[in-house]
Amino acid sequence: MCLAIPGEIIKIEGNKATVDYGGIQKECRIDVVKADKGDWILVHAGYAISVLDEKEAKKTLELLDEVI
Amino acid sequence: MGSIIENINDLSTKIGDVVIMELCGTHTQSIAKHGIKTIIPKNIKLVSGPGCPVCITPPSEIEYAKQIAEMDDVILCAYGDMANVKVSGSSLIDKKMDGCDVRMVYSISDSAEIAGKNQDKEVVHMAIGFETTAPSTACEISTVPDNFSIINSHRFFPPAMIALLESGDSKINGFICPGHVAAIIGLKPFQDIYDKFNIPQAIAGFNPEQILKSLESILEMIHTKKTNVINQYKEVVLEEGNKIALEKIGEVFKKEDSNWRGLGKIKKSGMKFRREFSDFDAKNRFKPKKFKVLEDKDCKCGEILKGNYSPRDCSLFGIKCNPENPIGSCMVSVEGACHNTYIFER
Repeated sequence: MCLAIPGEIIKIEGNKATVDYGGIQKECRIDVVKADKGDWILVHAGYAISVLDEKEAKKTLELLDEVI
Repeated sequence: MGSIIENINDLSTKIGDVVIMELCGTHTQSIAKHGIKTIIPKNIKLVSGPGCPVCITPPSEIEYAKQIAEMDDVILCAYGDMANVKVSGSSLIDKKMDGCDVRMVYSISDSAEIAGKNQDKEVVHMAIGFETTAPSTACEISTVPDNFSIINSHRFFPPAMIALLESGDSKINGFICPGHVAAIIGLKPFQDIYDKFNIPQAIAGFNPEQILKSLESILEMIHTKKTNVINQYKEVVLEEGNKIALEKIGEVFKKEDSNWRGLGKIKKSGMKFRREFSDFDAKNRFKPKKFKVLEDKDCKCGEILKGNYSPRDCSLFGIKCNPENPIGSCMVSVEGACHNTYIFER
């Protein structure tokens, strides 16, 4: 239920953003985040809940290479 | 420093038997799907907690939704799995098959759109979910049409953690905390729980590597006895959370005591509409008729949600209760402990 999908904002109109999820585009509401075109956001139940921190995301990806 | 798996193996030899509870249904699903229990040492027991909103919604609220669905000129909207939970022998989907207008939605925005297109009908949205989902309800409510109302089943999550720890029979040594709840509420509520109960917690993302990294940090805290709240999901979770979302929740809802399936009444865990939004509370438009909820006495969902029972400890599991014919909510939801044990760990 708390699943949230990351996607890139490609257009903003008022409190709505068009988000690209790896090829599929869908609208979501951005009322509770401060986001710009080009930002990556996490979308849950039609609403963005968080803007992804690119620097931290890259650190996590590096860390995750060390799992096994 | 070795790999995460090597570190988990190494730490497990130093700490004895421990029980770690994951607190989000999406974690439950990821742990089962990726076979995490099969690659960690046997003395590290992972149990599922009350982190699946479908699972913890009490039968009385589902029964109420069914009553509304049966009324004339009403469209009842619900999130996916919620519609499949049977209470007293039938679910919202069963009502749909009986001819009631029940619709599955992905977002409260979808329900509001349905209301806009059906002005001659009352549209009722069953709103479930924790702090992750509540902001969407809080935002939408200021713009919905008059024929729209909400069955408010939202809940604050941290009070459930406190209830588990105060229950007396808790054997939990650490929490894998829900990353997307934390994205909204930040670290402080978890820190407050640490201050009171001194229990190790890691805020976790949802892929298997992120869950293992969180588990490693919890085991490290147990071993070193340097307990804390560690944020292992920094790319999403800020220390202060999402302030705008928290303000919206505060504008629309206030705290009240609320019932959870399995956990019973939990203080200040409910999200009651503030007076200015009470017109949109379905309870003020459709009075619930008296009913008695009939539940299978052998269903152990309640104990499973507290981490006291594993799905396999339930006599109904896999035989009378399975995904094709689920008896309890933990088998219905794709995030439920029973559903995931049945699909991935049988």
